[in-house]
Amino acid sequence: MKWVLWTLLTVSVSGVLLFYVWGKVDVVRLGYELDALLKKKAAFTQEHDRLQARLSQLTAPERLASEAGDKLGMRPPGAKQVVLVPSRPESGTSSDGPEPPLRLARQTGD
Amino acid sequence: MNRSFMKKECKLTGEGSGRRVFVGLCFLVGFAILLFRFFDLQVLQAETMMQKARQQHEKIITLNSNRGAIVDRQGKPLALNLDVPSVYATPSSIDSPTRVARQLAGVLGVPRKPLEKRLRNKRDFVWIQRKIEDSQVGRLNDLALPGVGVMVETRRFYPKGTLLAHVLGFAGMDSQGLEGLENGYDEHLRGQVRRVVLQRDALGRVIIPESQRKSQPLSGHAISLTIDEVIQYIAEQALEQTVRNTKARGGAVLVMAPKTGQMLAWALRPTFDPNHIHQASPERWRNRGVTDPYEPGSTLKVVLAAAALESKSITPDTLLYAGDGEIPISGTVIHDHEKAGWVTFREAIQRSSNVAFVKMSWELGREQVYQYLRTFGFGEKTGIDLPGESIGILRRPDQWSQRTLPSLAIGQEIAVTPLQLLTAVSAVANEGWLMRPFLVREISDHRGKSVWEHVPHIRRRPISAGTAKTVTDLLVNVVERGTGKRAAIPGYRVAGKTGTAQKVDPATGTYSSTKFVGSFVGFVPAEDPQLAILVMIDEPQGPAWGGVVAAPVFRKVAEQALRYLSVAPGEEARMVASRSRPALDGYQPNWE
Repeated sequence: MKWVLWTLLTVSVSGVLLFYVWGKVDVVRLGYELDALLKKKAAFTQEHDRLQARLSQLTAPERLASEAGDKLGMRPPGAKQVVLVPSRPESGTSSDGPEPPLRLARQTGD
Repeated sequence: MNRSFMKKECKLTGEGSGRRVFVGLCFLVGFAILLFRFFDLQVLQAETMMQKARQQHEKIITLNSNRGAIVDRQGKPLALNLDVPSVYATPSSIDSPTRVARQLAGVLGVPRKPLEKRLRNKRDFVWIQRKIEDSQVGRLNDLALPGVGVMVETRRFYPKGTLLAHVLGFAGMDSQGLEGLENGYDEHLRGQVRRVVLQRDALGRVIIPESQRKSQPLSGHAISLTIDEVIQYIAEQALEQTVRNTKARGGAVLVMAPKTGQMLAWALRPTFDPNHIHQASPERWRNRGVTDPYEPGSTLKVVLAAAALESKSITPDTLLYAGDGEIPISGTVIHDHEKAGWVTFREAIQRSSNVAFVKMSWELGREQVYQYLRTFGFGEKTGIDLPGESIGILRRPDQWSQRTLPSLAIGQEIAVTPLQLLTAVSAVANEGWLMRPFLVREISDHRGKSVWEHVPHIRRRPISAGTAKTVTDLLVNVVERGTGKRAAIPGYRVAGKTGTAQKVDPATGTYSSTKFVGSFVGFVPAEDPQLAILVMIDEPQGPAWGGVVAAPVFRKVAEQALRYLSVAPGEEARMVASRSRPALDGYQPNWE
């Protein structure tokens, strides 16, 4: 009887110890994983920041103006090239269907 | 047999007892030594041992937070952070400094000898080169040099280069704001630096304990400006072109939304690139829009005209005798550029007659002139959210000489900053309300949640709405028929005033006959002002008249900016376009 009790006690204590050690080992393993993920996140953030800076450089007004002028031959419209489109009545009061989008200017040629 | 056995046992017992005592003593001594060692390690050397253990298992890292971004009114980035690699070395880990220096010099493209000298340093840590290219990092990694490492640092980056450089300012190597808004709003922009203790294993890998996972650095707040990137570009382009064509020493174009005090553009020349601050002298970093007062010349007549009309000492149709275009004042003579004879006050401002304005100032009197100048904000800071603002120079009447009052009438013996003058003229455009100009419209945290919003502030009301309207009509007349014709924009009513001021020659202390400041200040559309613009060209070569050098810049900036803002020409058409116009107002102002 005593022998059985001692065996049960030993097994129980060993089990508890093993569970405790397993838990600790798992915490450490997850710590490593977390560290690796944080490094990945930092790398992605770094890449995002770099791309955002590049986008910002590419969409700078100076560059857009130069690209539009040099490559596409665009330039600001002259006074006679701007045509104002009269407004339609507010939507809901007209029976001619949906209101067309408001245009402020259009190219009329030189 | 029993006796012999007993004898033998007794013999054995005697021998065994001695051995037992001996072994027991050995154990006792052993345990005593162990016990003493334990005591020594755990108690006597406790501090040293704990320190050693901490060094082996703990790693203290400083988490530098990111500086908040600066964006324009449309959310376009003007200042960002970039992670850049830097090379460092631990000289104690390097066996052959000569060989390592030679290899490093090959990759980094720097002389070998200074590198070698640095590697022979006795310090634990030395920088080899900060902020290097990514391709160089790859080549360094391939070499796998012992004692040489790469660390990532954060650097402030201004993607638009010189655009808005004087307003943005710049941040230093350690991400501290040094100039401009970077300095003025440093407290908000910089985040919180945190030091975190991490546990590491025998291989140096980091184990992050639960309690420290949340110890992330708090990023700085992002600030959103009232400046519009596109209007800023328009202003910079127009100014750059004029400064280049006239070979001027410099210049300024400031654009304000007169009803709220929001600054829409702030262009200065000469300029600098905040990404490469050491390529320009500190002189160029200065924001002359607020730091450098100058004599405004005839542009100040806007304020004096408003004062005279508000005080009822004159009307637009009052006749003034401008004579043959000159008037003697205490040993000097003030000239007009043409003879005028009898002129109405309307014509006097249209022609920018100095003689007529001197006479008008005598009507107004020194106390009233001083009081109105103060009420319009001269001699005090505008309160803009930029560091280093000057109050300008406006002496009290008891310090004036006989010549001061007539000099003030033509914009001399007073020094104003470009911003002070623009703010004062904006009050005329804003039915007499003097606003406090501002650059930052909102501050938001790292999650994008607004933590502070700037509400426009009314400083005071120097003139009534009626006077403001009369002055506006006079200024429209200046552009349509007077000295400001080159500021006219087809389809819009433009109100403005030219100015050509002689500069004081520092060598002689008198007014120079060759150095001038040509300027123009005005607003458009006159009946519903959306933009107030000041143009100042410093020391242009050739014709220096404000109407010749500055007025065309006003027209160029205003024309393009109005189109960008969908402010259509003509009052009726403007109503059509108002639906698609980006909002410049939308605030209920506060009183200061």
